[in-house]
Amino acid sequence: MEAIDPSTAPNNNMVYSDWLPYTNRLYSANWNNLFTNLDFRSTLTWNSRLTNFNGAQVYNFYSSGEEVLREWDVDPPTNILSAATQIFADYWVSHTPVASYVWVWQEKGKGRAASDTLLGSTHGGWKFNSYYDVGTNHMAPSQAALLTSSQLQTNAFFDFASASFTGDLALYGGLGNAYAYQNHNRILSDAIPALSFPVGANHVSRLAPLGQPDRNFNMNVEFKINGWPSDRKSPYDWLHSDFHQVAYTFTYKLFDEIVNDGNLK
Amino acid sequence: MKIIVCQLIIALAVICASAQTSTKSAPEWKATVKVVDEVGQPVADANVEIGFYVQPPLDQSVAMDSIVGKTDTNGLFTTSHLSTGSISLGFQVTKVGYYPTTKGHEFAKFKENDPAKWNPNVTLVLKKIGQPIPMYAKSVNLGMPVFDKPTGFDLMAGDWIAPYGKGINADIVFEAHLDQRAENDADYNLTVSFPKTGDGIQEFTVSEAEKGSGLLSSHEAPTDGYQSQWVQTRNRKPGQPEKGNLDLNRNYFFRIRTVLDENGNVKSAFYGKIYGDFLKFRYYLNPTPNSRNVEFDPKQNLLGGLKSTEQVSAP
Repeated sequence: MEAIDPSTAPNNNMVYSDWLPYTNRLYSANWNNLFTNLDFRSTLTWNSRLTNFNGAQVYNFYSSGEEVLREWDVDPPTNILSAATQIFADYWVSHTPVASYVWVWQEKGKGRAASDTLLGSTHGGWKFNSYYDVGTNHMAPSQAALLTSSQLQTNAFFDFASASFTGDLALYGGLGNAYAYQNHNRILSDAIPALSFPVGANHVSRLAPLGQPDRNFNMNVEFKINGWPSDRKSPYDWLHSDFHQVAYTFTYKLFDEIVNDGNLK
Repeated sequence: MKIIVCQLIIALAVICASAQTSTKSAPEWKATVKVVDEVGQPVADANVEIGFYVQPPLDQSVAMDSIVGKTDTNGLFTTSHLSTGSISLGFQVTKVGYYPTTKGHEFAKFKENDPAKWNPNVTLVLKKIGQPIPMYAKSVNLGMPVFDKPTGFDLMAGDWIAPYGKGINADIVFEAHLDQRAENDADYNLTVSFPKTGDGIQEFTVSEAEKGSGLLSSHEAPTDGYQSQWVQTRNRKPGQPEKGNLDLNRNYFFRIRTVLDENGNVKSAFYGKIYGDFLKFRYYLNPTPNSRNVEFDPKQNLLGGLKSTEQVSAP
């Protein structure tokens, strides 16, 4: 949500639990704040990433019953961040419908996964930088809060590297600005977690301009009609992709709304 | 490509193996459903269905199953099942002569050591189908036609009054003030007022047990407790979440076109209800003076010519 609405408050449920005691200045999601606007490393954040609508009217058709984008308040299950085959296996048997909670797990899995292939990543994100460890423990939050900006600019409290990937350490070097420019989108997707929930399951304040019609539509509440397919049982949620998975007779209000809003008749 | 195919084959093999082993160790859930009526009396012989997700066939992402049963004389139904990996349970109760009621139970919302996680104890309220009536009912998503000027909305016409629409009677008057310094820096007040003495609005809340009922409100609007004005505030500051009292889940009863006798008692008035908050809401207006019935028959909407997105399908 912060990508299109910078006023969205960071949500602690999007923070890996062992980072909660630490000041958010140390988060990878806020590392960009250590740099001036002239440095491309300042853009390594989801905040405001998609704010420029170029004058377009943006509408949010979301579902509060979404399973893929659903809130997950605690840390992802450890087996979900393990080998790819285990992820497949666990999805199939322990979290149906398939892909439930995967968006939050993807974000919280940044820096916490066993591989870079499926969910999360091995570097950046919520991975602690062992350089700052004290013995076998991470540096205490009170001590870590004293780390200076110049220290963190060249050696962040999180770890940009892993055993299998060290490329992003280039961000610390003299060409860090250029490296950020060249790898901007990939770094965001691999190493910088969102701190807010996804648009597709939530109302976005910015899309409800003051005194104007609300451009958010909760499909789970507003557009389910004529009941819901009989093979779907209670709680009859509008799930991910149901706009095309469920027959038009149950969902046509969504399409009518799109036609009305877009003046597409 | 070959590597990906090999990985998928291995993954599928592991899936099949894990499905076997994981099912054996999966927790069992045990659900107890209590069904009561609006005054809290147990409802016997109600149909209970508990839906849950199951492992789908390979070509599907969603599959569901359910357990059905009936409540006993104490309004209770209990059942259990080995976990199928479902992220939630969905409860539905039905009975002839009542509105259906649903409720969800998401396992992830409970801590692992919370007994309620795998043993949900759910109370659901069944509301009687009373006398559904024709009403003026409409879903609206309004923008203020003008700021800093009182603008009336006619509930029977479903529109702003002239010159902004075809309405005639200003049943509700909206006046918005916007102090917009930048897109994300603004103060907004919306005053919702009722021009006739005795007219007004009051908020109502819905209990957890009633939230999933087909009839969200009570059957009747209250006789009194209406206030003539409601002020909505919304404040935006850069880098901060919006503040104010907008609540998308708010509900109201209202009274309009009130005529008072010489003693100030209500001689005549129209009653209705609102689901949602201003200026995006669904309203229902009873056309019969002094009838406080707010139970809508969706097949008898007195407002014709509505777009599908303006139509109201819930009572």
